[in-house]
Amino acid sequence: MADGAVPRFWREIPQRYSLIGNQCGKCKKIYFPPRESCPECRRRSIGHMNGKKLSGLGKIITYTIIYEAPENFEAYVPYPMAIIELVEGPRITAQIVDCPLE
Amino acid sequence: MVDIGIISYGAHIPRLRIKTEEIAKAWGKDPVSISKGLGIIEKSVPSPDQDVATISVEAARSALARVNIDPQEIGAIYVGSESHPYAVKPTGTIVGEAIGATPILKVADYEFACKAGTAAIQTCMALVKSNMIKFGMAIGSDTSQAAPGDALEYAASAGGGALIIGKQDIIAKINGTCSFTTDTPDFWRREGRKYPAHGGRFTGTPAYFKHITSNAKNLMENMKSKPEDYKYAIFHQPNGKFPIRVAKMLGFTEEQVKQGLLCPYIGNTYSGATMIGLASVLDVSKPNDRIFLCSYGSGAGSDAFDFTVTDQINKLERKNATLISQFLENKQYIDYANYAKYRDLLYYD
Ligand SMILES: [Zn+2]
Repeated sequence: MADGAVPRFWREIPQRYSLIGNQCGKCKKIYFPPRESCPECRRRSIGHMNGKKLSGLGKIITYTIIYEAPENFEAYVPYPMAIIELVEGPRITAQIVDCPLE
Repeated sequence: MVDIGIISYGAHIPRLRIKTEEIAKAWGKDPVSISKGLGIIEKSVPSPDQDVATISVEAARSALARVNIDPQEIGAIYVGSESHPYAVKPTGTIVGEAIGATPILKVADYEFACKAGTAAIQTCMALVKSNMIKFGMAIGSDTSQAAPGDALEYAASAGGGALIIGKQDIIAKINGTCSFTTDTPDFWRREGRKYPAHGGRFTGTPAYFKHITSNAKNLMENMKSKPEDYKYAIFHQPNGKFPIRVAKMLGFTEEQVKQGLLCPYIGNTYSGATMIGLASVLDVSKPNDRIFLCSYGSGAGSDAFDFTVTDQINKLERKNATLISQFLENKQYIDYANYAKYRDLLYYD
C-alpha cells in the first residue's frame, strides 16, 4: 500500500465496513460515498448532511469480469466487479465476492 | 443469584466445499478408505477474500440480527482463532468497528488452538458477572491451513461462530463451566511458519481423549449431572470419528451428539468447531433442553459448559440470520487445482 493509502483507508472505515453514506437534510437525497455538501442544495446543505446507514440491498446494473488485475489482486483473477444501484438510490462500484462466476 | 447466559448467537460457514475424495485423488490415496476413516465427506474452503476477520464479522452481525440490542451496549469482544489475518493488529478491532460497538469497548484476540472461542465465552461471562460490562461478544473463528499432502489437509477448513453473553433475556443459561489444562505438545505452529506440525496419529489418547474425558467428568461432578440429563452434547470435532468415540467413552449416545456434529460436512473449523456445533443445536432447541459442550485445544486444554435453554428461545428471531442447515445446503464444489490456488498453496518466487 502506498503511504497515502493507509490514512485514507482509515478515514473511510465507516463507509467501507458498514456502508454508511449521508443524506442531505434539505432535499433528502442520499449519497454514497458521503459528501461534504449536497450538489443540488449547495450552501443551504452545509451543516445539514447527516450520516445514514444504507441497507446493502440493491440490484446489479452492469458487471465485468476482471482477467488482468491491478497490483496485489493478481491472485484473485478471474473476479467480477459490478455497478450496483442501492435501494436508497446511490450507485456503487464493488467487487462481487463469494458467488459463482456464471 | 442472577443468571448469566447466551442472549443470541450467529455463525458463518464459507460456501465453497472440496470433497475428501478430490483431495485423496490428488495424492493417489484411496478416497473411500480416507473418507470413511476420518468420517469426513467434504470440508468448507474460504474464498480468496474470506478470512477470520470477514467470517467473524458475518457471525457477529448474524448474532445481532436475531435480537434487538444496541451494539453500543456491547462492552467487550474477544475473538479466538489460530489464523488471525495479522500477526500484530487485532481482529477484534475490525469486528468492533464493523458492528458499531466501538469505541467504549474492551477487545483482545485469543489464541488457544481450537478452544480459543470457548475461552472467550468464559471471559465474557466473568465480565458480565462482575458488572464490568452489560453484554460481551465471544467469537471463535478460523481459516486453518494444512500442509499439502498432510493428513490434516482432509480436515482443516473454515468457519466461525459468535455468542452474545449477558444477563437479561437469556436464551440459554450457563449452569456451570470448568477447564482442564496441561502442557501437551500434540500440535503446534512456530512463528513465521505457514503450516502446523503435529505429533501424528498417536496423539489422540493423551491429548484429545484425556483432556475431554477428564474435563467432562469434572463438570458433571460439579453439576451433579449424568450424560442422560442432556438433550444435546457438543464435542470438539477434529474429524468425524473422535467426537462420537469420546461421547461413548463418557456415556453419551450418538443421538445426543448428532445435531452438533458438523465435521463430516464442513471439516474441522478449529476455533469455530464447537461454536458452530452450538449454533446448530440452538437452531433447533426448545425451552428446558439441557446442552453439554466440551471444547478441546491442542497444547492442550479443554473448556466444558452446561447450558439450559430458556423460554426466551421462542422469542429469539432465529430466522433473521442463516441457520446452520441452510449453510450446509448452500454450497459449491471446487477441484484441487482451485483449492490450491485459493488456499495459497502455489509457489511464487
Ligand atoms: Zn440537497
